[in-house]
Amino acid sequence: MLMPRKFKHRKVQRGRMKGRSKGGTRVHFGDYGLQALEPSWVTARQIESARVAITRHVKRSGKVWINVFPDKPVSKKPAETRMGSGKGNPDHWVAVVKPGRVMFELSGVPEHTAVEAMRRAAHKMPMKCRFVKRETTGGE
Amino acid sequence: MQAELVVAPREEKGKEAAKKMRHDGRIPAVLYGHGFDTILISLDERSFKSLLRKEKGLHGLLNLKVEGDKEGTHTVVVKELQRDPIKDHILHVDFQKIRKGEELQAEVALHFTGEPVGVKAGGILQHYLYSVTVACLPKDLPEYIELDISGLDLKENMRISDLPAIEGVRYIHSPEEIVTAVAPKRVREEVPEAEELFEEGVPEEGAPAEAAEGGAPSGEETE
Repeated sequence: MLMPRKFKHRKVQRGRMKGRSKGGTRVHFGDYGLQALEPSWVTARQIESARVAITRHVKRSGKVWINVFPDKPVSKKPAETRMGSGKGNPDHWVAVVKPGRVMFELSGVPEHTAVEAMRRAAHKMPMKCRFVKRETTGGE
Repeated sequence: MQAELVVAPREEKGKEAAKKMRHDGRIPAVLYGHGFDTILISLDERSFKSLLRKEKGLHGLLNLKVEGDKEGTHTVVVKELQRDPIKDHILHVDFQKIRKGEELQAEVALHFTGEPVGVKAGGILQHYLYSVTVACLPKDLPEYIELDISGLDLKENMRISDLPAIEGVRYIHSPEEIVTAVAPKRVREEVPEAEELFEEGVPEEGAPAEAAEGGAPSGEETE
């Protein structure tokens, strides 16, 4: 699973997910993409699961890009623990995804295969997503 | 033939006026150019979208007719287009006025033709560039550049230097930049299990900050 190699702080504050994604809203590397329509934290496990779903469906042909990286640590208190005595221990890593972000990209496969692969990946995601295509250079 | 677009000058500025304009089906836009006084304009969203779809798209020259303008028609290129990432509405358009004898820089689409030999042999075609930036006089601006990639074999690539030379047109990219390549099909091993998360101990000193997009670091140091 994806996680930072080094980090400055073991625990960080939760933050807010206001507004829309500032960048990465277009299909940039591949021909097809999966775009987030709602803000959410995407865990490293979910990213890996979606990646496996895509690569299995395209039977390892094509090329997959993952445009989000889980660089935010999430802490959790152990089960059956009384409240208080400080913040819990780091538990997993998440990527902060805002609406509009193209999270996965795919190329080298026919469109119907890409649609199905992205549909499978979308099932692993915690938010509503949609399939997007590269803007054709000849028109819109 | 250049496509023609009729636009209206506008007086109102600011986001409230722009919001109202978009609500009424018009896109706020601006027309500027070298040695030319900038004009604030607005255009009909529906006609602009159909123009983008039917004609050459964002590439190439357009004739812009400003209502009530003495100069009449301006030859322009679309310099920038702002879109809503979710709803895909066009929010704003920048038009740049072109002077006849002055060199301009514009994006030109690449049209790939033929199926590479390498793909038939089981490779994967990877495009790195879908359009190129060229510098030329307005009269020399090509609608698109056709690229025959049928000769590409496995592990071969096509660079900017391999693009067809067009008289009066200069490619802005580095000649070594790769346009398209055929990569061999890679069998990817399963990713090994991640190491134990958050191993006990202090991370290396001087580690770069991995800032999260949504959350500000708390300032809490490693415990």
